Amino acid sequence: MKNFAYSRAESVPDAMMATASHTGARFLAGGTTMLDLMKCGVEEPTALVDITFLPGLDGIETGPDSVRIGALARMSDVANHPVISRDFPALSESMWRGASEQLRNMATIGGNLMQRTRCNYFRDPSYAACNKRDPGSGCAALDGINRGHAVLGTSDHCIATYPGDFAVALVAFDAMVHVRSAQSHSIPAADFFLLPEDRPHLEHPIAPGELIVGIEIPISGALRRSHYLKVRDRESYEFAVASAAVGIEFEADGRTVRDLRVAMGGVATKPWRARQVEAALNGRPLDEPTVRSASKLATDGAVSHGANGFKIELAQRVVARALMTIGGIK
Amino acid sequence: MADFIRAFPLAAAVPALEQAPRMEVDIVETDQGYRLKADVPGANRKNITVIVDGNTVTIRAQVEKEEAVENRRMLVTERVVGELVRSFTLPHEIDESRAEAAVVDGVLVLTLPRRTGTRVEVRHGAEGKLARAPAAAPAAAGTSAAIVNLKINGSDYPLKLESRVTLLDALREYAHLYGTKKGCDQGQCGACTVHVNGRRVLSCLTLAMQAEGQQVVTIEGLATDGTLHAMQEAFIRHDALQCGYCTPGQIMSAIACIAEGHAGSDADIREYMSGNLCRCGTYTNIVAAVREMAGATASRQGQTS
Repeated sequence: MKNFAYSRAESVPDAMMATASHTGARFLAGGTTMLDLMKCGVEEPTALVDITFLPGLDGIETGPDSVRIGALARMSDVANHPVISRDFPALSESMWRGASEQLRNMATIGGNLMQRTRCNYFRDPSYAACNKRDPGSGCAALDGINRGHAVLGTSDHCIATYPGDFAVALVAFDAMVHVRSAQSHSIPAADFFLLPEDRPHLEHPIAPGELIVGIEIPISGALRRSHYLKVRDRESYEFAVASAAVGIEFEADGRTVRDLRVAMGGVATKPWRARQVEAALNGRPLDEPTVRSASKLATDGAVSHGANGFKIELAQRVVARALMTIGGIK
Repeated sequence: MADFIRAFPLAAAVPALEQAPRMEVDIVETDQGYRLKADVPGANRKNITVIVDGNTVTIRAQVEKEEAVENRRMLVTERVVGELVRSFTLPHEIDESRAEAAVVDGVLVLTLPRRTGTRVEVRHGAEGKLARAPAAAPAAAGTSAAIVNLKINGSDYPLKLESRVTLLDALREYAHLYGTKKGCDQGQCGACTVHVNGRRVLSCLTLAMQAEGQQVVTIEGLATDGTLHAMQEAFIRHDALQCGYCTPGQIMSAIACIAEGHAGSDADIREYMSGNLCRCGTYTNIVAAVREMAGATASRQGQTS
């Protein structure tokens, strides 16, 4: 790991100033992604501004209309929060099914949103071709070992999978990301993650010096009846091969769908909202044939790159199983 | 004259080194007295003696140094033992009964409280320079090494570290606490698990500087007065290890797992211990040890509530 200057920010303006005024400076929170990528030689900051001691950014509030989580709340604080785990299952499940408790004790919510892909070609600079790491250098994964890579949202320049779980739930339930810059602004979670297109090195619509200060998830009937299903190569402590955050609110008859949410992880270049599935099921009574047929729409436009072709059918099945679980269909 | 650090006896009289390595010394005046940091190459707790006499502080360090010598017409390197002696005269007399010392990775740190009501003539010698402590010491802003004050198992460890040194490397290579293990060094195996402020974390993905001012507990901090922690005993009883390399991390994780309330069932234990890999595959016995201790904790709480 190359050496760097370390400092602790004492206020949000202090932190923003420290990174904006120093080329190569980066924020440091839990460090679980940053230090890992610095050891790989992918991240080479010249200065790290430690923001974990900033006061007042680690709160979790569950009000009548929304859940608000400070950017410095730890993943374990969210996963183990009594109200969140009781009332908003997809938020808690997508947290505790990610990483390990040690990592969840370190990683912050803001840092979690900035988590970077696990693409092995991105993580290993001995491969020259990686448009995300070195724009214009090519993509080694297109013709490489790509069983874990994305089938949705890919381009000729990058097929790296978005690895996270929590953001999948955020996208399903219309969360907002609050960012502090010269003027504070809020970005819908769905827009916080950019498609790779021809510039995969750009991953988020925020500039150096801008700081995530919190997220807000509106409370809905679908969020109360929600679930995060994660399918992976081992039972625990593993990234998703395919996952789904789903939620359903029924009409008074208890059968007809009033509001349905579906987003997928592990199969796309960003947390992937499956609006076609939602549109196909909204207003209809839920049963297994309907769910299975609608779930096939989840992978509209999917492209196989060889070894990852199995993810297309797997994603459909994961969506169907998750919907049947919360829909009460055995 | 008071030889106040009796834990650091000089082993034997040894000759002064002709070409002694330099002993870098920095003395800072504090509210209470003085803080003296001496960079003593090759020093450890066994080979330094500090003698306080009024306002004079003398450091005697037995050090080893490599010297090229001719042996049977071949030039070889031999380790030579010698003694470094530095003496300092301070503006106040020192209260040796309250003085403290620590030696970590060659840095001797002396806390020297002044005896109230004394003020003596300062005689600046060639030895260390006096400087006033800055009002608020900024966190290491440069990229060079700085003293990082770590609190490990209740003891202070002032370590001279670069920013890039992880807590894991600080524990093993600088504080010489080898119980915490380095497995993958990239957050995938859990061998480096320690507690920071009561929470289990991975020391390989934590910078030592991030841990400054926090309470760090390692496997070495579990036993009290030579008696193993109950979880250590449980691992032995259940044969919950084979090669033992992952064991310190497993035990630190297991204690936290129960404290968090994540050991209510075998499924829970397996899920919340999943961040600690065991290549020998002793998982069944690890689960048994955690299950037993979780039950013991539950019944103890039942009795007291």
